[in-house]
Amino acid sequence: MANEILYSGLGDLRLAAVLAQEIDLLLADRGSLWGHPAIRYVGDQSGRGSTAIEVPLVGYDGYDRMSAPGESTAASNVALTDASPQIVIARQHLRRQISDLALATDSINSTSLERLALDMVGAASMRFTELICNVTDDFTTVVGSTGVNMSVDDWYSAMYALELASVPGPFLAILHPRQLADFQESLRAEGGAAQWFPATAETLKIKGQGYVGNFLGVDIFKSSLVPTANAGADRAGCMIGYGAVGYADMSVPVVDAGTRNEMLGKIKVEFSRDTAKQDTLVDGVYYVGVAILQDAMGVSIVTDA
Amino acid sequence: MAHDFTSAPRIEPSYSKPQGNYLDMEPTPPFRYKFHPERWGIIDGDWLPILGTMRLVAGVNGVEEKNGHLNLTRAKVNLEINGWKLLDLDVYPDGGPSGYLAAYQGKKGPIHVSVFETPIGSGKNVAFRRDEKLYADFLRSLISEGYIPGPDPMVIEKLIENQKVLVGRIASKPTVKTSPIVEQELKNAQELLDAMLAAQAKGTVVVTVHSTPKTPKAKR
Repeated sequence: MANEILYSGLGDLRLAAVLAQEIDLLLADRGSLWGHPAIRYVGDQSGRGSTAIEVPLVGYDGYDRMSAPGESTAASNVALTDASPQIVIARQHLRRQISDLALATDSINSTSLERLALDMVGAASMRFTELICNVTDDFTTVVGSTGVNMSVDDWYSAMYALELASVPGPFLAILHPRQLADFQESLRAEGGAAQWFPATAETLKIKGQGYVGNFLGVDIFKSSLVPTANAGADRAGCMIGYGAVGYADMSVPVVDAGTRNEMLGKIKVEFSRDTAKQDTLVDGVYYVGVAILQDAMGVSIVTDA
Repeated sequence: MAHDFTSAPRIEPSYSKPQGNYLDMEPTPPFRYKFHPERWGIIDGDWLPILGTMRLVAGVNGVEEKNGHLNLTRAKVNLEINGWKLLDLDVYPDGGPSGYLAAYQGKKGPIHVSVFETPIGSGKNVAFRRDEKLYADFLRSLISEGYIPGPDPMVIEKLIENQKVLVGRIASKPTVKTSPIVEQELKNAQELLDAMLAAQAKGTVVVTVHSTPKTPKAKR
């Protein structure tokens, strides 16, 4: 029979491809360290007079102990020990620019202004994680060996180092996925008491992004933003207690300059127009700074990449 | 008469996306190496420093931006309080004006690595080949040229002691004879301990001669 109506012959009445109704996210590491209790939040510094904040650390409450000078011997003064590491806040910024044509032809809300604004929150979150990873690889105390895979013993070495320094909790370990995989490989060969911990079984399960569980009292956070060390030979994760690392941020005023602004927490999203190009600019801004506050409260874990 | 365009000047075509050999990976910031007298490890058979990196990113560890430039004053204070020493780029003259720092163009921005790493691969699979020998020689030159002091014997003793404790801990595991993984961990730890002791016995660090002639610098 001739002249059938076939899909292959309806080129003028059918589309080559259509978009599914829901967008999916490209694979990327989206695990965020925002809000973890082991990272000290120094506070919102807006209106304080400077972008640089000194964090006062004082040797009180047992740092210096009493002594016994004798019945009628005058006691000597003991100096107060203090320190003041600095955190400097800087602008972190992401900009997108989208044409009116792109907005007008959006059929599945994939590039709406609202979606682009929400993207800024994720961008700020991962930038914060990146800044934290950029400071936690350089503690004085190092465990692990260059070129050698991470093992359970490196984990214990880090824990012992923090215990020996009497570091208070909560505790957090930030590991690169390579380090975590090597740690899991080593953990499955553990015998003795450790093999029966429920946490051991949990840690051996496949993990998603970000927080992967708690092992022996230490939260484990996995991030591909953990940097390299030794000219790329290794990855430099860390294990820290509360007070090792701190951050400060700043709320910025919304300026009414004819642009539309939205505050998503501490992230300001500003929409403006390039009328010559008929484009809309979407700027996400986050003012934050991070720093090591007390070096003795953290341990770098340097193992093979 | 029709206009003749054959003599019109050629220009380079413009493209919306970068062309050429751009690395398909996220950009990374420039950095400076830093040294701490308590961070040492066995690299290429010698006790060599495990350098840290200070990333030149505003907002990280005191790095701030002023008038369009990065200011490292507060960052240096933060470092020195904790016993670190910053190493300028010129500690490695063989790398040219940018010293030990190299940069490659990525699709979203420059990628900064050390001169001891070279990108290999294609498409989305970018890896870096490392010249371990050259990096080890660079570390040796830092000591021999006087930029950093050699390892403190007390620090080395402490690190060796820690390694001995680690070897003992692994050797006492109940699965050391039955698990190939634990057996390998013990082997690695013992080999490292042997290398530590051998390096300690060797003592002196090989002096490295730069291929690029440089003005002799006073010992620090």
